[in-house]
Amino acid sequence: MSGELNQTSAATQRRLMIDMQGIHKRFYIGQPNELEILKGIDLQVREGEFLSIVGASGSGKSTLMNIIGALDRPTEGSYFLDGVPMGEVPDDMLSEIRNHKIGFVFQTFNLIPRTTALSNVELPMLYAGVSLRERTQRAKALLELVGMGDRMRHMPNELSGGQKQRVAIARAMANDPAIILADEPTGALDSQTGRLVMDLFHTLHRRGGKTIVLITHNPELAEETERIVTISDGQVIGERKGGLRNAVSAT
Amino acid sequence: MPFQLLENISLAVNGLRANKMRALLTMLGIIIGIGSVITIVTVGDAMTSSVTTVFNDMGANSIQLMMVDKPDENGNTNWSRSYEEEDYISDEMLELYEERFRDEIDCWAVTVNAGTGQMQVGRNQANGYVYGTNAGALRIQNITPIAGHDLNDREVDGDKNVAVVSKGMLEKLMPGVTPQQALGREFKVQMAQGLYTFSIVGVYDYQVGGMMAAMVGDTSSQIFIPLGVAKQISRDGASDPSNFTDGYYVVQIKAKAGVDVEDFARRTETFFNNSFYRSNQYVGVEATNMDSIIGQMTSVMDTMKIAVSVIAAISLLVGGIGVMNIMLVSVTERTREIGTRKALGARNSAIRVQFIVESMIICLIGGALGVLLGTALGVAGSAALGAASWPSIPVVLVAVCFSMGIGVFFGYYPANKAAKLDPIEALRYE
Repeated sequence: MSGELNQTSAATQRRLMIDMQGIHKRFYIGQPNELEILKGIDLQVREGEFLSIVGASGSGKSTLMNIIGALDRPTEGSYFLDGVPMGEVPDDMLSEIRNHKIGFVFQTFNLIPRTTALSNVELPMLYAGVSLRERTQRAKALLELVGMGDRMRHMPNELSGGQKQRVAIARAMANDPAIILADEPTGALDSQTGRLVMDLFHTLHRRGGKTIVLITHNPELAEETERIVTISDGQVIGERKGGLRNAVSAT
Repeated sequence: MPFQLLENISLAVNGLRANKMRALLTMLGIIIGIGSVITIVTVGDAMTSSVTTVFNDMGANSIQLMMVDKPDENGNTNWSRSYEEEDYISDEMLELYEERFRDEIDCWAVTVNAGTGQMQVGRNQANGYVYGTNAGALRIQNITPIAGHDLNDREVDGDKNVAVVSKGMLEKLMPGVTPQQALGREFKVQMAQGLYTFSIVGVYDYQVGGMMAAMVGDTSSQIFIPLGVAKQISRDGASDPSNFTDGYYVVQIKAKAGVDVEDFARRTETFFNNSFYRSNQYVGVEATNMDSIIGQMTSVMDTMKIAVSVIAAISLLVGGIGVMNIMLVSVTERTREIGTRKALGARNSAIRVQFIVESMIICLIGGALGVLLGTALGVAGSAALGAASWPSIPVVLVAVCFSMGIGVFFGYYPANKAAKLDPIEALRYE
């Protein structure tokens, strides 16, 4: 598992995982209350990058995250995800893109209730049509990787917040996605477990070479990433290197 | 596996187990609907077959000739009028009838009820009914002696004090005596009119249980004696002999094999009405054949089945709406889960199938419980009617398939609603 990820990291051609040009998102189009949430966003994320997007609530960062995560389509502009154009694609293709290219980590974990940790991790592979044996094997490996190997048969309501989030991270990695999209992953955790979860992201990034996009309003967490993109009023207003930049170069 | 059927089934079962009471209440309509269909079909089939068997036993070839009141010119029947001697079907009429239709009549039977009596042999006693019959009459009622013989012409015409008794009666009166040994032995009958002595010439074993016993009477407590003897006993007891009739209210006639019974019944009726009742302004006769009685009962049964099926259909409809309602609740409750599944890459069709499977499982379990309930009630009900029987397999299969169909039909709308949820909205749902 980790060997496979290391290989990806070694072949760092620094190709573009996210390539956004002039992304606009408007709601209530043609109505008096037409609302422009994103006003021309340009964003490039290269393979293996650990990027954070920060912004106050109402800045448009959630809308941007939805577009990055293929949950929504831009009104205007071009978006390539791992080389795949994300224009006028039908719903089913969006589902497939989410399934294969995106690994979501939510603030509220969103584990499927009454379903074991193992089955939760298997779920994206189930939708991808992976055979039962293969997905069980891979789900077990991923749960081991996030340190949840001994709680695979537990139900979500038998797990603590930090444990849930680790299962969610394992689930996000299930189909070896192009990017992990984490929306306030420590928002519902106390600082100590939040720290553990962040460390897990760093491990995945540093040792597994994963491309991670972290959406947060917490400047301290953002500071830990390689690059910080600040969004305000639907536009990118600042972009700077974070504290991790050098650490990753050193690897 | 397409649509992850097994996963969906286990998911649905888990969901139901988490909400057992709700699941059961949801299924109730389906359980009652399917249960009542299975019950009524089982009981109905049992009734039809037992009725048909009994009536066939009684003779599909037989005709019942019965006195009927003629309505007056206003269409009313005078219920308070009592029958006169000339109203009854007399021996003379039957003789003329037999002469006229000799080629078609196998035999005919008339029965006179002499009343109840206490049979005695030594200190053994048994209560029973004493009937007088003509020779050959027991054949029509499908009563076959297992020892000795049916009353014959010699015994009937000679007014002999002989009797045909049931095996059950014999066991009470002469414990340990075989039917064969009992022939020729005497017993006494204590009746209101006095004490009579009969010797046994025949023993029969004819028992019908359950519903049919209630309908035709439990023949095991009947003894049959020659017609003339029974009439004499009746006459002995009559306070006013003019009240007593030599005629009959009803006559059973058995046609020879190969005779068109329905047509024969019609011709019999016409013969009697034209020859004997033309001038009688109050009474006539009516001839019915057993086939038409069976037909009537079958059609009553079919009507009953249709009525219960309609009730069951309404129950299933209500049950289906209940399932739809609970599925809509379930979809709302699980909005976030649906959003998560979509974010993880579930296609709309996968969500739709998940909820349809869940609805099908609810209905399938409900249907299965309904089949169990219906089987229990059906077996109990048919046993109570004396013809215990199991539901037929095709009926069970149709019921189960139908309940699954309800699941698909009523599950489609909620499932489609779930499938069409916007993942962003769904993920944000609190």
